[in-house]
Amino acid sequence: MVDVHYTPIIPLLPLVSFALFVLGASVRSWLGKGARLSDQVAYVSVALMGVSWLLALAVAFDVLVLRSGQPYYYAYPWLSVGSVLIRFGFMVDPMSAVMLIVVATVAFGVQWYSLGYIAGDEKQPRFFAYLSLFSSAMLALVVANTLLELFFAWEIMGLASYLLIGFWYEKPAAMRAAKKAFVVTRVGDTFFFIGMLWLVLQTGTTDFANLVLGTAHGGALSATGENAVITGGPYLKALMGTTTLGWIALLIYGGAVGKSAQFPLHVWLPDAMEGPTPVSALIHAATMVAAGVYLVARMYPIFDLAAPLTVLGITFRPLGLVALVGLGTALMAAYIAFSQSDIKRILAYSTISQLGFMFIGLGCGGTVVGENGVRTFLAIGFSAAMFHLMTHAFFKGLLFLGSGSVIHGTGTQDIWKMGGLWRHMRWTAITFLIGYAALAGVAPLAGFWSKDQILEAAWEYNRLIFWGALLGAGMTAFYMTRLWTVAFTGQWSGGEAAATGHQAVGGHGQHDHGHGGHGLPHESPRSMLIPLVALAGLAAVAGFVGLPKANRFGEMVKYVPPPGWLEPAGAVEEHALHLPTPLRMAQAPGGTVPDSPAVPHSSPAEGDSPRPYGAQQLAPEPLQGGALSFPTEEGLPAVGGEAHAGAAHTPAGHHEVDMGLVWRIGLLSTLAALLGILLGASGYRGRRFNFRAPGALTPMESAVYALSLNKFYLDEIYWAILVTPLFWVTRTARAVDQAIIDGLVNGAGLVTRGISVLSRLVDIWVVDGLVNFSGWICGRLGQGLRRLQTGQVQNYVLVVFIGVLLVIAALVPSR
Amino acid sequence: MQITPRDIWNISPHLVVAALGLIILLIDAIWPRISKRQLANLALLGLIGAGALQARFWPRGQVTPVLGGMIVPDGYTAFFNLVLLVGAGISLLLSTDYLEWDGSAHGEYHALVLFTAFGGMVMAAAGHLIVVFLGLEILSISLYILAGYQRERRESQEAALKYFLLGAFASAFFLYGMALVYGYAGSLDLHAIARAAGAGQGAAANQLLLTGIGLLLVGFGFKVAVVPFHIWTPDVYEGAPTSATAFMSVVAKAAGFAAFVRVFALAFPGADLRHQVGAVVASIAMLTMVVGNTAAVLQTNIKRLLAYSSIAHAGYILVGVVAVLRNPAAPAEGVSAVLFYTLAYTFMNLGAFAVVLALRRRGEELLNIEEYAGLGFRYPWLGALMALFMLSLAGMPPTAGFFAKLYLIRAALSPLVGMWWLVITLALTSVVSFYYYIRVVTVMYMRPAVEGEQAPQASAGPHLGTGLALAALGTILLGLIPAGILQAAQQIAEGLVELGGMALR
Amino acid sequence: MDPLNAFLIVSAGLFSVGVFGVLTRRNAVAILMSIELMLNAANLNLIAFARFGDPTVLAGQVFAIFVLTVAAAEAAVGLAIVLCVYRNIRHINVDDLHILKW
Repeated sequence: MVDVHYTPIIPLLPLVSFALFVLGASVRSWLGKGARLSDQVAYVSVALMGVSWLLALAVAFDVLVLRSGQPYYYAYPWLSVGSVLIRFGFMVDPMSAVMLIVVATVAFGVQWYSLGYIAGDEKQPRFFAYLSLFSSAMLALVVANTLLELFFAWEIMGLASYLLIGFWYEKPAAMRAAKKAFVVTRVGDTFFFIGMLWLVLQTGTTDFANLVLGTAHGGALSATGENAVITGGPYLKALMGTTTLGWIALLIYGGAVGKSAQFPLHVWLPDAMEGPTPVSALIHAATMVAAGVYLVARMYPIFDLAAPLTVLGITFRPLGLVALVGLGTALMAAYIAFSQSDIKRILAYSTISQLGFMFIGLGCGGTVVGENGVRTFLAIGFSAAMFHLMTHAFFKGLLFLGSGSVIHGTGTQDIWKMGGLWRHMRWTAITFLIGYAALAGVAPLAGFWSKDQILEAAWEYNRLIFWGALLGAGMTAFYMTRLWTVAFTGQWSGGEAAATGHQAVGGHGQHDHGHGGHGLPHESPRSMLIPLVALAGLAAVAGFVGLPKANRFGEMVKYVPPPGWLEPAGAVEEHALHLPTPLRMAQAPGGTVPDSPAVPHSSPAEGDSPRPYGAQQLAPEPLQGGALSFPTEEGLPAVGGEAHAGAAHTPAGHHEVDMGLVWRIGLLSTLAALLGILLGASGYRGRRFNFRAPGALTPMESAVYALSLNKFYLDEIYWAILVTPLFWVTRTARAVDQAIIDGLVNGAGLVTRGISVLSRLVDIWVVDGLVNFSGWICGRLGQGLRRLQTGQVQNYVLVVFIGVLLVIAALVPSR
Repeated sequence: MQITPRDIWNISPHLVVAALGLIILLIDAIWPRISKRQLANLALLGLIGAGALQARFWPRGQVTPVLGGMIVPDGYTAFFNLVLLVGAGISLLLSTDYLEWDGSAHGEYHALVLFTAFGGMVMAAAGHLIVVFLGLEILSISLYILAGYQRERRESQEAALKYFLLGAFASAFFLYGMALVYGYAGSLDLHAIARAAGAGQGAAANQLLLTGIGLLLVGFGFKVAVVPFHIWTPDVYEGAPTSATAFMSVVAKAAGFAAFVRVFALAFPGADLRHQVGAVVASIAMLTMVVGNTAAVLQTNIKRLLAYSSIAHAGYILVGVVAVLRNPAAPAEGVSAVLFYTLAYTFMNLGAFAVVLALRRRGEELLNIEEYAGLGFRYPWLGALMALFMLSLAGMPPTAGFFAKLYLIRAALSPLVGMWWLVITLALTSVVSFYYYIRVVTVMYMRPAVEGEQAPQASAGPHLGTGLALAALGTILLGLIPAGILQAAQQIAEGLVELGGMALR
Repeated sequence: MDPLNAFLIVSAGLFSVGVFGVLTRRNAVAILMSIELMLNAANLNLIAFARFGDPTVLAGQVFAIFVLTVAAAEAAVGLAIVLCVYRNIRHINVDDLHILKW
């Protein structure tokens, strides 16, 4: 029987196929046959991914059903950073089990689909190698047992994404997009990295079992087979209710903002659509971009158990910020989607918007402190977000694969050049319709259930966010109806050969697939349709695992605050900070403790106390799988010392369902969806709305339209805020450098040189106008610095001498 | 003072390297027709022997100074000596093919490499400022010659002259600084200086001492290439023979930091003084990271790019030095971070240069980054390795560079250091560094290859192949299983700090 | 005037002359000579400190002798490099050495 012990193999298999590709290419090139492998090797990759998918299903089934939520944990010592021992290992709790299903399913579907999509491409083997590398990293991220391991996978995933976006590097736009994606997400990752280190310094561990896992009754996991839930782990005790935790949470959230394309770092995702469409489906819709949501969910206790932060006089809880940014992103992206004409860009903005919805869900969960200091716990938000993550992965993956099929069949990405596809591509159209309806929130498809849960969470937390999210739901229905009506109904408008009346404005002239000269659109090959049908099935029924009355999903994937937390704020601080006895973790029968210091490191001072380095810590412990590694109840008294029984704050998973509220929200959201659909259908039927025709809009209206069309001018604003002033500074600095150095060394010739420098500047200013955004900043700075490097020895001597004077001046007190 | 056999035994690795250099010069003079490859093999054998002798001191070493306190054969010395020996060994492996191709294979190249390594080892072991100066000069003078080794190439000559003039200029300041410190402390022994500078609070306000420290900072800063004393680096790296560039980029840096950290960790124990010096070093570190990383963005020549990258890495390591100076509770953390970083840097930087050394185009070196187009597919191994080294230099997990940075940031993030802005700078500038490192990867993997006459050729003989493999192995292993080295570095650092404490009592 | 101070002032003056020379001379050999001046200024310091400090410790004097030796070696290598440059470009004016830049 395949059970949880097969977990390590799941990410390993795609890695093996990646290694096979690299090895094969090397051997061939060594034999002098050219590095390109034959197309057949792609089947190896798909087969290995298929096995990995089956294993993932089996493991998830084992954890979710047979073990009823008891997590699998397995680790061995890996390295120590200072006094912190980090273990390398695997963990599958219910949340990661769900993610396993989602990631493995979509990855397998996409690989299968790519067999048809990429067939005949010269670089086909390379494509599968990259896809395998990505799948491996993403699966490793899901089963990681420490934050550090997660970060590793996170970075490799970023690298694979970069390679895949730039896959068609013949297009300069693709290369630029790849670099942009890499560098922009790095900005977020940097914050994540610092947050992680800070967390390690504060707690002395990165292990999820120590930080965020516990039983429903709080405390560390037991071996008694209880459901594991996400709650504050034992090592978090000392930090609970502090602002430090809040700052750490915000830094980690920075990583999620980059990866999950939240405002203001979302600018890379639409450009990433330059990659092949299966890649967009896998990475930029279903899995990688959801990793940010997963990260926040993984680290949820850190977000929830923090004290509210105050910045510039505004006090907010970290999760509140997450919700607000999510709402802003959701609305903004939906609004931009109104005016885009590239089918993939519409879907990209839709993805950004839906990710915003997930963050709304996360942000609207957790603990809220009332005015009287009473803490109230909102249960639904957390699982709603994860639920939406799952359903979204299915229907958005479906929509992207469908759009790939459409592009394959029509040879264009511009929806205005399509039309009437319902007649020509029946299977694609049917599956696309299901995905569209699920996204728009039509009952009883998957999107309806998960979106309603998020709305419910928002209702409980803050009515303003609720109404905003409801508006967003309506907008979603509208732009999707627009896409559907324009592309699939009406008459075929002739593809790329069509009259230039509908010139793509924001789009790019290149095809996704590169073969032009289409006549009528044609249906795609069967290998592409099968994954479509499978995903359509999932998009239709996946919602039923989370019905309001029988929320199987919510019972499994949930967050519960640790006991004692919900007592009045003042009391809990005390409670949390003064542990009755040092935590003692005993050997569980048949298992070892994940990481067993005598006392959790609570403060930096304590964290710095040297822990003996010794063989006993680093010697590999007997490898045992299963539900080991968790201290027993006996070894670890329920954390906080007292059993938690107060029914008043039972934060248990059995969330009281207010069916009246559920009905009301269901009605409201259906109404919003209907309104959006009606508006879209009536407006775009027969293409009545054509805002791009001259004179169609009043000046006021066209300003509003332009805002959407130009994506709120964010790229331009970044340019103006970040680049232009820097340019001015470096230009001035450069001129000053030049003046001083030359003036001192060689007073004559200054004027001539100044003029030549100026003319050169003009040259650079004009020529470099097109350089890509981030490179630009550094480029300008670098140019300035480069001017110091004149090649003249004596200028160098002078620089060194000035340096000497500066060092002396800085060091010696002037008296 | 008596020189006992025990003293000789303790400095045997140094002696082996120096003696071997002389022997090679001699052999080359007596049998000028001897294959230079054999000489390289002989030198490698000697380096391995010296390494074996040195490994005896790993990781704790000997804490009693020898030769009257001039040389300290402790674990710290052992670590840096091994780094230097590894660096010199891999560099020798990389250089044989290149020199033969270039037609400048002479015996003295190998001797000079050994002398340079000897100078560096002396610096690492120095317990006395005279020894630091001597080591520095042995290292520098050998490097001046190596930089100008290609006598017919104008660039090489220009690089040598620039390096020499600026280097001599900087050592004059360095020497003047030593004289001032001597004037303050009445001794040049590090422990004696520590006793004089640690007494009372006067040290932090003494202009004589502070000026001396400032000038020492200049001397070390020049050797490890930190802003504004980095200015020679790009030109010299570009002009020097590529094999020599590879060598000096790692060995000069390791030796410079070895002496830098030992002198600043031991000789100036007063908390106020360290705080003050730490602030200046922090400013230099910040400047170095910003300048090195931003200037690298625009480079088109791979040697120049690596030069700026080496400046940036010097800035990162300086962050570790700041942690040593400003964290009185646990200076060992900073020291061990510097140790680990130096080792990781040695592997990944040599690896990058190894790939550069393997490439040619139409009988010339392939230095323009744009010409690397399609290399990743033409030469899958070379391409993959280059990508590995670039990503490691950028600090991407799971490579050596990642843990090196993680360790540094951890040391600097301690609240006692109180320099969070330095950590932010480090993090943000590493984002910038991703931009230019990834550009190399982009060119290799996302540009169509050039075919025909203009196509780049790769040739890796057994020597170069071995060197490349060793560098790659180090980069990967330090990224996957860093635990052993991390622990040893920690122990060594604690040993050094203990030694400082003992001397004060 | 304290005799030590007198020595220090002379030394500082000598050092400054050396720095000035390095900054302003165009001829590589002249720059080399200026650097020698700087080294000798440091030597003067070392000996003055040794003489007026603890006269039983000879570290300063010994160091000075080492510096003289090292300076000689440095000058030898430096002149060799200058010679090589001269062979290549027929002059030793450092202003015209700027093929390596940016």
